[in-house]
Amino acid sequence: MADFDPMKFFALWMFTHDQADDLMVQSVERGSAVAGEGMSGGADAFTDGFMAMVAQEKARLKEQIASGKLDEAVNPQDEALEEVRFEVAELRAAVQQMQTTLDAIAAHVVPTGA
Amino acid sequence: MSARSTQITRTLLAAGVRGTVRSRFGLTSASARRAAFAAEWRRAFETLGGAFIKLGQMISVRPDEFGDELAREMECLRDNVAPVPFAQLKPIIEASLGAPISSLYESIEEKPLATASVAQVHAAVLAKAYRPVWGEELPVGAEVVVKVIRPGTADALRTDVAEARRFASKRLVRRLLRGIDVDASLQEFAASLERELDLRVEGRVADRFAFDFRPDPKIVVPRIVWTHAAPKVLTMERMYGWRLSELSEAELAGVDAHALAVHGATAFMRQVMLYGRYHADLHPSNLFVTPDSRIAYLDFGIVGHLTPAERGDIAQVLAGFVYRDADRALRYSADLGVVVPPHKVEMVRRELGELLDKTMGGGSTDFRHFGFGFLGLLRRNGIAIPSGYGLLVKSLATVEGVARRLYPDIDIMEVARPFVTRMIGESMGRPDKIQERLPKVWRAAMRELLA
Repeated sequence: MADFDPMKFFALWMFTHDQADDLMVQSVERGSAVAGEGMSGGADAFTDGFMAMVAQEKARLKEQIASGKLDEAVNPQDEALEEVRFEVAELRAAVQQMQTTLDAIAAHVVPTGA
Repeated sequence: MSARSTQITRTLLAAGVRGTVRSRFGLTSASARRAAFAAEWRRAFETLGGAFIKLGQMISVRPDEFGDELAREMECLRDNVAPVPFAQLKPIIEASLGAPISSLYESIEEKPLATASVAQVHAAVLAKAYRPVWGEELPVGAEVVVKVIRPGTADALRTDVAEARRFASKRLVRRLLRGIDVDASLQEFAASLERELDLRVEGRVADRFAFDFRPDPKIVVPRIVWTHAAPKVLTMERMYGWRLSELSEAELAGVDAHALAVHGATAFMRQVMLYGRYHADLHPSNLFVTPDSRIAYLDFGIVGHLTPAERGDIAQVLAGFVYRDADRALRYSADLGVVVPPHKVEMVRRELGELLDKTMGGGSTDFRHFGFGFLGLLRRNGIAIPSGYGLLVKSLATVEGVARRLYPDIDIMEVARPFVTRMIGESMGRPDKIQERLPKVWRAAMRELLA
């Protein structure tokens, strides 16, 4: 086996990256032209559309970094807490509705000896 | 034979005879024949009223089972019922809520706001403040509406269902309705009717929708007053605005119609693909546009439910439609129960591809045309369509129609495209998906490199 050639290795590495970058840019371009007749349709159309959205997300991220205002992540605990609050409120409503039913039944019951 | 039974038999037979004459004794084209009969069935259902109005409404959301012509015709069904005098409803309200009306409401209008075959709606003012399940407190004096099941409705509807079952068991009717699973449809109908006769079911769905849409200030759902609720009575916040069916051009000019149409369509996608619960009866009378340009949902009579797995599959099927990828649409439709026999796969794929190119490519798209065309394609090929699948396709077509009422040039697929793409992209990052897919990705990459 020939000696390891770092120059050739990095050239191959750079070439692979260049190729991947070109393919990615082409995919983004195709995906960005999705409106109306621009979209070819078919199995690869989704990938192109997806890549176009990734490019938009990248642009948004760049803007955020430049402005120093990053999105605040949603705390999953807050979500869970809200869900529990809703379930408790639903239970409260169910109890209130049952109380109404009991009141309705009681209103119909004629007291004995009346 | 009861008087009602005789009326049903006579009306339906007369409709059948008129349909035969209108279709020139079967000498017209198949689609003209179906349209002629559909118009007669619709008129007969209007004449019969009661459960037949509800049955017609159910048919209108099931083009997969009953065909496009009949479903379209039943959309025009008119609920022509005379209002019940308030004096007959008052005892129902008081008996259901166990208190005199004067202690429950500061006032209640005797003239109804709306009348339908099952329930009647009256405007009222709350006598006590109420903290709803979600949202701000309704203060004393808050404007509400009281929905009341009309007296005798439950018994009348149940009698009609029994009559419809008896009628449907006749050999001639079976022959006329061949291709339709009559027993299953009537079973489903009876179950949905029972749900509708208990107004608390609708109240619980409204609460859940209010919770689901809590981060969205553009969507509003009426708050339910549970202390004033019972199976036959439901009190809820009053909504002001215009029903979409009544919205004039002048009123439309006052709102950002395009933004509202896009928002409404996106809200529906969120119901289907994020929350797994969707309003499956979204006709223009069930939607309000409020003066502050918000969308208010009303009447949660028909609601579709989806499991997380179904939601993922639906996103993929929709991506297949949006990106005109017939393979993707059929692959994930199979997971939803639309199984194409192996010997028909090639033909169905080709026909679906052609339909996608015709209706979803080249400029503007027409989902209604596509959706009903797709259901027709499946039916023609004898492929069973699960009820949830048919309901969803119809609901999407309806959402397109509703959005177009707000903004005629809206392209529903343009709205769906980023939504489904993001949904699928996000699911791609789930560890279980990565674990499932990585070996396939590796094998595919190596196969290409070593080919």
